[in-house]
Amino acid sequence: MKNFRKSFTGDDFPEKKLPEGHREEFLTKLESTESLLIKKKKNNWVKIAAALLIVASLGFLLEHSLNSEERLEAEINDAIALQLREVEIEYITNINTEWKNFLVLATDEQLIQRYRDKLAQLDTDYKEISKKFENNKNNIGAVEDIIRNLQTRLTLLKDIQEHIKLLNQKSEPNEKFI
Amino acid sequence: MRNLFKITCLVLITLNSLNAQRKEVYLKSFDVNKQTIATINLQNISVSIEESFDDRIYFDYSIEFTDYSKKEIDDLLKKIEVDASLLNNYLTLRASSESKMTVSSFELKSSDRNGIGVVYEDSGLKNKKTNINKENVIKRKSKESVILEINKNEVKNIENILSSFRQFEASGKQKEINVNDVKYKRSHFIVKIPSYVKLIVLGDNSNIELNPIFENVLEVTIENSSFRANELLNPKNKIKIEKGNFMVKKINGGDYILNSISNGLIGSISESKITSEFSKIEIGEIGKNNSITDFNGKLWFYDFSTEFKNFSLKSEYSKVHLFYPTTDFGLRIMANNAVNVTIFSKNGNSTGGESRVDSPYVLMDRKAKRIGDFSGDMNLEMDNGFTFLYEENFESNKEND
Repeated sequence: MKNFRKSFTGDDFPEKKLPEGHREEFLTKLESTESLLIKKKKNNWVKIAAALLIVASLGFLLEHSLNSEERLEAEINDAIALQLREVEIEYITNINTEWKNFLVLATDEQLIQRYRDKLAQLDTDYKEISKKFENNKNNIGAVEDIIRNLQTRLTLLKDIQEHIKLLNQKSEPNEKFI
Repeated sequence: MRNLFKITCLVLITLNSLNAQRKEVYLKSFDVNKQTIATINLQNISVSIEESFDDRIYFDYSIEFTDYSKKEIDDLLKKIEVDASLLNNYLTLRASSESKMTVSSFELKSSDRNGIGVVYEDSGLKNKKTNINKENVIKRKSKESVILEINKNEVKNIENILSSFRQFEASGKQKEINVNDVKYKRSHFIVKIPSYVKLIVLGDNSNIELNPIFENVLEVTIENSSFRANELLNPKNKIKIEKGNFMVKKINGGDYILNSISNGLIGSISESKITSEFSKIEIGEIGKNNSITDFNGKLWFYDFSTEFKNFSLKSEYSKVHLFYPTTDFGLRIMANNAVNVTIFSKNGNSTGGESRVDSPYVLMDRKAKRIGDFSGDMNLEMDNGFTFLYEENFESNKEND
């Protein structure tokens, strides 16, 4: 193996003298570097402050947008509740009218009692569903259940009156198949 | 380019896993024996019952969320309570949710709520129009077509569900809902039970599906719920449903109380007793020895088996549609108060009735012709009702009542 130590002689590394005033020059450069470092430190504080400001602004914007969404949600729920109330009033008015008509038309006391019981049961259900809706106005399922309940009551009353009227019209005495 | 492709794939896979996630709600199993009685108590829950082929009952409940945030999922899961315990051969499962957990449900993403965007159930629209047309035409349905209708009521995919809803925009316009504009969840609650365990189901606002051919003793008491089953074959069955849907492909034995059933579909029934009120019930085929007592219902009997032997119906304020069997039979109608009977035939229709009578009266007595195979006797007792009879040769007609 080749010995590289032998490849270099003393002449390959000539002795170099330091220039005059190098010490003063070094001290001047050192001072200027320190002032730069202080400036950089000052700049960092500005950056941190700016970053905090951005984060705070984003936080504010986010909160603001969340609040807007919540407000929008509340407005939607109020609008649904209002619409629903109008629909309910209309249905209940119609149900009451049909009930009165039914009482005029029906002569079978047992039939009237069965319908009274059925409608009372549906009314109890209706109150329960309404409570659910009051507790959570975002509950679309409860809205559907309320409408279905009212529709059922109205349909029942209309259908039975139709049934009685048709029976009275169509059934002729002494007409039979035997 | 290759790297770009890989990155794209990775992003897509990550996005997909973020959008759809399945969360386990409850997972437990219990050793059971022939003395075990299982009770399932449900509130706002959908459950699917399967057969277990070992001596264990399994409860496996998970929910699949698509496009729900972590907070929404956590909030929803907090509102579901499931607990099961086994004590002296009595296994009880209680499952409840604050809001109704249907098998499949959706809601609009908040960013798509465009002012006052509200989702509401389609109130006229395509399906209903088709149904109205279907209801207006009277024709015999085969047992198979009733079973097909029951199958159609199985859980649909999200696109099918969305097709029957509309989005209500701030402008007042309605538009179809795009699957990308909604977030949805699917509930998977599977209960596996051996065929020898007696099962009691109690429920409110729930959906119950029995998928196996069910030979177990079954007791069901549910309200505001939907009940769908394949075959119920135990004569000790006691089913009571108050408000809801009842769909079973085959029933052999048991007592059924069906009140305020809006969609009652039975493929075939034998050796059973039904007590119903304020319900609409369609039966594809009446088999051996059935009796029905109804108040103010709409009943459809599309066909009778060749050996139905005895069929009795007592009805008050009901509308009964009965298609004659194709084999020989006897029919006797006792009338009380105002009744109306119409016979529809290819050769014309005939109507008869009574306005008032003091006591039950024989309105119609059609004796068996004693030609060919005799299938059975029907006894109908009518009070203040309509009966529409359709002869064998009757094809179809517009409903006029």
